Amino acid sequence: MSSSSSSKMIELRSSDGETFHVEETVVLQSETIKQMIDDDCANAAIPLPNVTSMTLAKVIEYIKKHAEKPKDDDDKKVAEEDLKKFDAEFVKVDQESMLFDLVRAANYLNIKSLLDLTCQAVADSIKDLSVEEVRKKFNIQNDFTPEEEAKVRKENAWAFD
Amino acid sequence: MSDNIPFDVQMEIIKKVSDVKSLIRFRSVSKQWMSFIDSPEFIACFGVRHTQPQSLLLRYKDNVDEVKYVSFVDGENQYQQDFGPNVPLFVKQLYNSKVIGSSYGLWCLHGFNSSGAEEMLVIWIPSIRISVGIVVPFVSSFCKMTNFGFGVCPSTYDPTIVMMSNSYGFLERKDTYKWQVEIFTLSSKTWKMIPSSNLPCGSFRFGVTTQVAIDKFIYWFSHDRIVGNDGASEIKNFILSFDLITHQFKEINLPSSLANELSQNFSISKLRESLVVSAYTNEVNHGRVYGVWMMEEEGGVMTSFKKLFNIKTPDDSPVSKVLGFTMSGEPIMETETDHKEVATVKVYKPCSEHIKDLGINGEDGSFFIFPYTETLLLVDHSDRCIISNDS
Repeated sequence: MSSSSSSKMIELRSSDGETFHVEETVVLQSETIKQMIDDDCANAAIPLPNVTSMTLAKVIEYIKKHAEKPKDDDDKKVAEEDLKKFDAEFVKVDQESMLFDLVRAANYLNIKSLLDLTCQAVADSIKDLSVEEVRKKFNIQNDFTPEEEAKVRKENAWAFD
Repeated sequence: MSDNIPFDVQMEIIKKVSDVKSLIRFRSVSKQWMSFIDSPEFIACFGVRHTQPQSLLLRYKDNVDEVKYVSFVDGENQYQQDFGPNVPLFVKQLYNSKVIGSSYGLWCLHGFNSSGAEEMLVIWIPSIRISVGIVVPFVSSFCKMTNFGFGVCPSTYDPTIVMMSNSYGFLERKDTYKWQVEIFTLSSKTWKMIPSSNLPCGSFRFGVTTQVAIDKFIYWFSHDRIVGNDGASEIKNFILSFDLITHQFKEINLPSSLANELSQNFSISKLRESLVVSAYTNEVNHGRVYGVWMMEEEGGVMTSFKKLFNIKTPDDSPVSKVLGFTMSGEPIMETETDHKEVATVKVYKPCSEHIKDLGINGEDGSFFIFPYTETLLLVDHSDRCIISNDS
């Protein structure tokens, strides 16, 4: 299947029922979808019950850009620079929930470069946050007893300034 | 899929957090986060990172014998702030302290505890403000001298201290000199005697300069007096290395201009990841010059020492030692001043022969400079714990 012509289109269906048509060569950046195609499960629209249409549109924008092939070496350098700029802009999303949605989608669809990019963006965004803010963002339950937490904080009080 | 980010992805995010301060704080997010950040795998993966811009930490004793720490931003040659407030009390209270060395962003200091009763070593990580005290085991009342070495093993990330004690017999004969070697690793928290059979013959001595730790080796400048068949003796200078992985000592020969002279103001330091030796020597056309050599190696085997340049200083302020190098490879040196026992720190630019005075005066021989690096080694240790073989 995957050796067929590059113009073959794959249909993806988001959790809210919207369908997207993407070239197979582009969509193969997703290991998850590649596996589905290899397993011959992609004859009809591929359902992506975990990805909303808004997120999927963003993901497709990303993989389309990253599928562009430079013509020659000179072009390659320009393309690399261009891609860097694109990536930097790509993670500048208005709503932070979108960034988290993209992390989840990249993880689910198994797109390594997108996962790296979005995880880095999240890491940069939480850098100066308090422990409480981080817990809230990741919906993490504080499983320390008050005594344990006080002890950890006291040991490294300077990091909490 | 739940709305939550799965923990394996959270781990990827934590791995991308770039500074130790945030990571130290995030240890208290949850037990899962703490055990991940404290794991040897993560600590190894974080490794050692230079801050941007790179800074250097200078330690010296001022003119009233008080230890000072100052941090510099490299490249600007301008000392920026007093690092003092961030120095833990544990380090401050170390009495009669001196620096053993620095490796992977960890400092090792030697001194006595505040009561003066116990000989102590302190491993201090400036970036995460943790210090661990290690009581020096009592060796022998015959012990003439003790020399320490400190390095972090690059394969296990285990901070390691080597203690070499020379006990002498009643007869001052060469064959009565014996070196005893003990190794302390932080993971084992104990001192272990190792065979010292591969140490050079017992009569050699360590130079007064500090050690240098590079990759898996600790280097010391050493010298010995070789007595020939005719009874005449001559000086032999060499570099002694200790392999942190195999625990083997090795003797490294110096270039002939350095090997047999009673070289003055000899120092060893580190330029990027190479060993540098520097000393005053007499050169045919230049007279007495302060030269800087770099050890070159291939596949971990030393091949030669390459002369880098001479440091030209005014006659009234000779070089005492090279303390280290800036990122761009300019030597930072301690130089003598008009006043006895007072030294000052200068940066030498080899291309222009320009000397920049950093304007810091202190006790001669008290200056140490190491790059300020961030690391999470020892993050799981409580600050100010003391390791003693008795406990």
